[in-house]
Amino acid sequence: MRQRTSDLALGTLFCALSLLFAGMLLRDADRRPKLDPKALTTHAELSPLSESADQVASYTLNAKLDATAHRITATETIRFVNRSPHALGELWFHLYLNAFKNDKTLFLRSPFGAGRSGDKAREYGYVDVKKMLWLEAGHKDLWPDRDKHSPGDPDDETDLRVPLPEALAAGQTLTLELEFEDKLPEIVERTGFEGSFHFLGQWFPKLARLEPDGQFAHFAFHAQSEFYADFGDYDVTLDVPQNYVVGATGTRDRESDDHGRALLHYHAENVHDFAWTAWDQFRTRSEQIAGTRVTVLYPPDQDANAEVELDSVRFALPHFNELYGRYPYPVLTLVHPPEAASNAGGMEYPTLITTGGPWYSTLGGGHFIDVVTTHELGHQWFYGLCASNEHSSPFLDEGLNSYAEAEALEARFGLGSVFSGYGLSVSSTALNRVISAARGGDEPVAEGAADFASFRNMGALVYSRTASIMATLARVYGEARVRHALGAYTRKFRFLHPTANDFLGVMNEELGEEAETQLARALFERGTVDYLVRDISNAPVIAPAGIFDGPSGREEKKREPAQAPAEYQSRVVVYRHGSLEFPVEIELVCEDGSRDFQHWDGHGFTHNVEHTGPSKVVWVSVDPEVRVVLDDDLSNNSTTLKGASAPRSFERALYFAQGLLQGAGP
Amino acid sequence: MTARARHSWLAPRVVAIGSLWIARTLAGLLVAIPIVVAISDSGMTNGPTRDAPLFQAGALALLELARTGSALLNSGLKTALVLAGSCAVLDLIPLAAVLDLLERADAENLGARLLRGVSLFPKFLGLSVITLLGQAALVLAGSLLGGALGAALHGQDERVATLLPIAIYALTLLFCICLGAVQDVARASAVERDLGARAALTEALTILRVEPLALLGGAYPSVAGSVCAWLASAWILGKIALGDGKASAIVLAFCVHQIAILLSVGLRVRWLGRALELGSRVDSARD
Repeated sequence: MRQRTSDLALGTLFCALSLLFAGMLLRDADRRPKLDPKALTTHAELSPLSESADQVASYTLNAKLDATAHRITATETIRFVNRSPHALGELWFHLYLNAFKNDKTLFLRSPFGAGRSGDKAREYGYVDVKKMLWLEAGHKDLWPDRDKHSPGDPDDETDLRVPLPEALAAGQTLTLELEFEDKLPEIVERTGFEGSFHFLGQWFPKLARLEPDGQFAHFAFHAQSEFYADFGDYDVTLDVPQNYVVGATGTRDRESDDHGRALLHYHAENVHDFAWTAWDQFRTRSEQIAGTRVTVLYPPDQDANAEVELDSVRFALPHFNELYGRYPYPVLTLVHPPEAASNAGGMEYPTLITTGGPWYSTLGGGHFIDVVTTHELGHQWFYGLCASNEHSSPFLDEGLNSYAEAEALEARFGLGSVFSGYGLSVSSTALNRVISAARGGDEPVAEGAADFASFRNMGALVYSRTASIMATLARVYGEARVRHALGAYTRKFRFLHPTANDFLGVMNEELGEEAETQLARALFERGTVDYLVRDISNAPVIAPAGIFDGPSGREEKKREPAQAPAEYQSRVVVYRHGSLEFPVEIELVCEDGSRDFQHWDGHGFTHNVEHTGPSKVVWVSVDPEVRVVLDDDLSNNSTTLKGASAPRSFERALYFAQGLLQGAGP
Repeated sequence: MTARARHSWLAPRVVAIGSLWIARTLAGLLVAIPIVVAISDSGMTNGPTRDAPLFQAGALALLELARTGSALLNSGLKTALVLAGSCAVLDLIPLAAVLDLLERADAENLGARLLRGVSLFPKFLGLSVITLLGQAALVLAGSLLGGALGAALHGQDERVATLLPIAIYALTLLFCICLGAVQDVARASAVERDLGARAALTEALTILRVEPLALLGGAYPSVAGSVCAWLASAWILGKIALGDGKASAIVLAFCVHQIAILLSVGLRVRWLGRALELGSRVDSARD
């Protein structure tokens, strides 16, 4: 009996201690850096910023949600100004919701295993336009004359041409009145419904962007692609069941009740899209951060995630304000979809972003919620304000934003920006590097979204490789200079539609021609680089022997008798594979522990390093601090005459093996 | 208890702990070597600080090792797993010898003790096979139930949908541990009364029926203590910077880890002693 009691007491003591240690491990892993309250103020801009965009396409929408049938009936008024110098004979419309109409659309016939969403539609969706009246042309209905399918693709209706019966002159305004109905798909990719949860992105007929050359930048909705549109103002009235909580682009400036329905009016200026969500289960939190009203909509029981999301915005919004120019809108809405609708998560719209993750995301040292929130917030600059073409140049939004995200996360969490806990920390730069290195030479980074062989390739190259290219520039040419350069780009092209050349131009001005050359090679020419070191040789320095003809006649010098040499002449060859050329440091470590650092400008394919000293060179590392994050293979950056060993790994492996045998063995 | 009596009780346990620790360490070395060789051959430890970069904050080198050394690591891990399986089987011999030592603490040389361990090996192997089959059945049932629950709860309350299958898996693990404890009692019976595998298992099940709390409670400190040692070492190791290149950090990590293993082995030996006592007690009650 006494034994039993002592066993139970001892076991319980160990259980209590286990809980204590587990708690401390989790606490250490979940410890988050405290924010500096001063950082929450918005820094004054050094130079005036553009405050508004040219209004090209403005929309007034009245939408009524049938939350049971998952349908929307709506009217739409488009005011479009032809700001190109050319007369227009046609308009191009994107009807993105038709991507989910049937399995033969461009979107749904794409290889989905590697798509963003990973799931095909289980319930299909579409947008039906009933009429499209051109008011200035006597209310003529343009819709019957539209092309019936996307160019060259009879199975797709996401990119439709509408001919104009008369040309729209340069500078002339056109007003269209539309009626349309949406049938929402079950959430496939961002858009649709899951139970009573509804997320509406790309839900209305939308004009393609008119480029300065008078051509519309239009494209069918591809599973790898995102969007591109002109700036304008949006006035949207949403008619939803009264018990639904709604989040949307812009500011809610009016609301009223109507027989069990809520009528909510939203207004947004200088934006190029409008998205919204409605769910009867949403919880909300709201606070003022850096002059912006930030609201989080989240599922029940996800208070911890909502707090982390707010915390991310508390850090990242002022941080991005300072680096990339002040966020110009009075509101920002974060939407955390329920886990069953996780495909709606991780997306950006003007003044509205979606995050995501299960309820336990904040436990255990992973910073997934911070990563996704910071990334989507960064899109307010790299997509929202610098509204580049996401279809043709996805690296300008996703790539640059991935670098901005990594920079912000590392500024906040240090080297544990992705994960930190249990003695292990993983940085965003390391993660981007390893993903990017696996597919670095597959395709050019600066390709169009639909041109990539797979979404995996696009993800690795557009997101991770662009971030790694920028991280390499920062480490090689100076982090402050690259931050400033990126800030110069976002300020210069604020409320504009920059191209890849615009970006390269700013980089040239800010970082110089050599950096810009490497950048262009890395982006457009599948530029890669791999520094490697082989061949250490050491020879004793001895007086030269032989026959010498000097001014005093022929002289013969005998080889000195062998003795311990006073000095060694060491020679190392460092190689550079690939087309990118970055300057690197080379570290030589001698047998006596002394070190020598030598510089190589990175030009040429090989570089001879010579060292003379009292001790042999036994270790050589090229780029020991890994400034060239793009280096294809770090395993060949060092060589040694001492033989490789791994004492720490041995200790750890021994413990794990002992533990495995103790736990799972007899 | 007199000092002499305490000494006679303590000495076999110390020898048993030492023997099991040595057996574990030798087997651990054998299992660890293929992995360490794979890491050394990867090229990632050629720098002047050896493998310190693999332990540095940020995991730049560690992730690169996983990428460029994956073929080597895969092959090393496979070899290590085969060796671990073989060692787990062969470790039955020192375990049997330790049980024999705890049962008969007479002065006997190591060779004779090991020979007895070898002679008990077939019975222990038979018991292990039966227990493993039982545990496999439990894991299968737990997985099926957990999976079915997870699917049934999809779209319901997220916490319940996540936690309920986890609770099922935890319960399965607990049952497996209990089965392991029954196996230890069967091993003790096999040593104590020279029973065959089936008879020893029947005996252990009888003990479980007669003295369930004593059996499961006896194993409780060993299991809880091992978990505690593992968590404590993980927590302490989190404070040791292995990536800074100092040899003292390696020594410190080694000491912390080996103390954890010794504690775990010590508690196991304590439990094995209890398992032997349980058999005698039930015998007495039966008489």
